Amino acid sequence: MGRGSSTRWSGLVIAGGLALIVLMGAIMVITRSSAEDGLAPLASAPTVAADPPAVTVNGQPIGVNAWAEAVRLDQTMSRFAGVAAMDARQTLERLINEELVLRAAPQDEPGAAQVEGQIAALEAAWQTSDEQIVAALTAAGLSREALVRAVERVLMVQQAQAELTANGTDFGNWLARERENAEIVYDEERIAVVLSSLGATNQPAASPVPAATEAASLPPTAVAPTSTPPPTRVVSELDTAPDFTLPRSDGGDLTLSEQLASGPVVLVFFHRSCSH
Amino acid sequence: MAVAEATAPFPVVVDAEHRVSEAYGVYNLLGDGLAAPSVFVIAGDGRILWSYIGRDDADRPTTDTILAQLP
Repeated sequence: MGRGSSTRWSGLVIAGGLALIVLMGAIMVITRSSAEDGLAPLASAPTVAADPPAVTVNGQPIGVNAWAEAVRLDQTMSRFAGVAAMDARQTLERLINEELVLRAAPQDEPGAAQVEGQIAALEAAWQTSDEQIVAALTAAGLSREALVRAVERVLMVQQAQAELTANGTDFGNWLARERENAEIVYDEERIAVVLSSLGATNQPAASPVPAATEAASLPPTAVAPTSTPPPTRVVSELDTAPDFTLPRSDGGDLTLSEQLASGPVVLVFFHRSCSH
Repeated sequence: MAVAEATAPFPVVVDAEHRVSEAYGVYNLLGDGLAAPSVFVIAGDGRILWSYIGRDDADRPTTDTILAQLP
């Protein structure tokens, strides 16, 4: 780190009148098995070539990674939307219904302008910024691309739904009939593994059709989730800063709560070899 | 020395066993066995007012962005 950065931080301290605490991870931290981190392997979902199906719908797979991503996206977005949560199993039912809808009325992908317009509209409605959304997505192990894909999909589903009901067809009835006639094969073993990694309980959705019907008719943000917190706490879910005492690099110990007694604290995590 | 530890005008503490980064949910997010680069703005009563978790070492909020979050 150069002098410029130090100056910048000192400016921050003076301007803010606050204690700036920098936490350094040890250089030689031994990397633990990523399997211990629960959600971490699934975080790379979009780039994993093989995505073993949790469910097949008329032979079309819905992969475990795609599902896990949808669940985490639902959880993240529902917090911004301030809506009640849908559990992981309900999210899976929603994906099944979307598959049926999009098969029945295939749609072209919406243009980037339309997708970005929708995202901007959501951000305005939630009174939040793109930066905050991205930070929350990152905390959940997701990229902004995941949100873009989800919004694309919802726009296509909405368009498909509009076409399917243009002649007065009741969507709920249509969907119930489709589900009856469809060959929907659940891989319960894989589903259990994903639910466990998401910290959810494995309870089949009591009534998939009504729940999913509702979901399919809602905007992406209202496709709510999360009755159960994921096992790995993500930052955006932390309301209160966990207290800690750690050794100072210049001797002695530092306790967060003692620092807070004299005002707000900016807590920065970085590691020693970090050049930024 | 990577960080101006001796002269930094703010406390620098060492989280060698990454207990704190785990408590804040930022440990190993990037799969590198380290705390993800991240910033938390904490109010005097302990509430987290704002946070930012970087996608890589270079992904950090600007000083102005952080200052704007202060109560």
